[in-house]
Amino acid sequence: MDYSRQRIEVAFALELLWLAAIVLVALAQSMLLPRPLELTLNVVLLLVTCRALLGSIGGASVGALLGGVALDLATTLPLGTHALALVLAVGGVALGMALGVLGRLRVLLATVFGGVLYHSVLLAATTWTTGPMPFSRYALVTALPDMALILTGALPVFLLRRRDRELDLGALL
Amino acid sequence: MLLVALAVAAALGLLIGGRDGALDQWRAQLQDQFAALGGRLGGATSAPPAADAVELARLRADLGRAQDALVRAQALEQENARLREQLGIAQLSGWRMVGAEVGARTPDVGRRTLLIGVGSDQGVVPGMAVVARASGGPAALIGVVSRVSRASATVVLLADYTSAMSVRIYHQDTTLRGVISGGWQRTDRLRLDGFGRGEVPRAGDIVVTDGLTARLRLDLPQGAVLPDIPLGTVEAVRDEGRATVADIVPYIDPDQVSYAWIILGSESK
Repeated sequence: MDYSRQRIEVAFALELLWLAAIVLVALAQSMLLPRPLELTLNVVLLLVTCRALLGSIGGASVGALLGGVALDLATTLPLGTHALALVLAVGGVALGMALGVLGRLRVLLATVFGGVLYHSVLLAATTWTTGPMPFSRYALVTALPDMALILTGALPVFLLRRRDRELDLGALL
Repeated sequence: MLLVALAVAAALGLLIGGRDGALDQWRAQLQDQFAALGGRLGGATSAPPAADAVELARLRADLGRAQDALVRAQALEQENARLREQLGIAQLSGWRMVGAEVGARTPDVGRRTLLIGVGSDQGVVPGMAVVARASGGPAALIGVVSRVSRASATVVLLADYTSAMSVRIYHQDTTLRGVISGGWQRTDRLRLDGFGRGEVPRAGDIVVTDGLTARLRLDLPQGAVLPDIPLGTVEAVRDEGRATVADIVPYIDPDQVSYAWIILGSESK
């Protein structure tokens, strides 16, 4: 009884820690992060994507909401733009993971799916608020480099899950 | 999945509220805090640590006070240097200015905006020009104020894809006119086009603001941008179809800017 209560308390504390960390990361991303070659590493998107890939969809979506609001405060876009894009990216990753049709590469494909959703929502929201944007240029300058970085970040999760699956298979055999 | 749906609903609520302006006051207050935090992060200070033994504690407290004084002295020295620089620019150009720390940059790769730590309390209004200075270069335009709250302002940089501004190009003994615009690019080069017939700038020509909106006293977003603010130089001229366009190298890379000045007006005005 005590153990289960302790476990709940620890889980709750860890969840709070995660939310505080994601807000701090969002602030650091907009205020402190260097921009080599004019590229901004979208750390918040990377973290919530990895969290969703590791199975904690609820924690990832709340983190995406808070991190997104923190990012919105540092931009000229209306409040909720990044939040909606990040939450839908988490939803996309969750959906991609839940679908069995993606095969062995489902972690990487789910990441791509989430990234496409994120940038589509950001593009649509910016078009809605500040006017039309050139889609092809946005894709080349913003979306593709961003997704390449996110995929690189998701690779360790992919390898981790593959190793776990192989271990499970070994135990079954 | 329930949490995802709830988070989507919350984000949608924020987005709709944000677009209608219902959350503007709340956002402005939070952005003011952000801008102040960004300024503090730019010149972070350190606090003296605690100690167990009394003597050690006293010595550490002394050291802490000395370090605090040193940090304050360095901050004052830096502020002094910035005020001297501001005075130098003001004497040379006749501009009335207010200086500000750069708080945050937009996290989106495509957009080019800054959040700075001055607002309507200091007399800043949308449309004012923002200048900065690189070592050895002139005070040059980096962007235009687009939104202002009480203690912070958002600056849209010249390289942003929404930027466009009328400029003058000093070409040998004549002055050409054109329009510079930002775009979706990796570099900070600006696009210059819209020349008159037979007017083609050359590499090395100096580009300054035209201040057309200010001179015509039009109530437009760039109405407060004064003429003759240096911008950059022409790097190359090329043909694009039937049009001639030029690449402009700005005098200052906005990504390197940590302190900027907003031009409130001119002494001659």
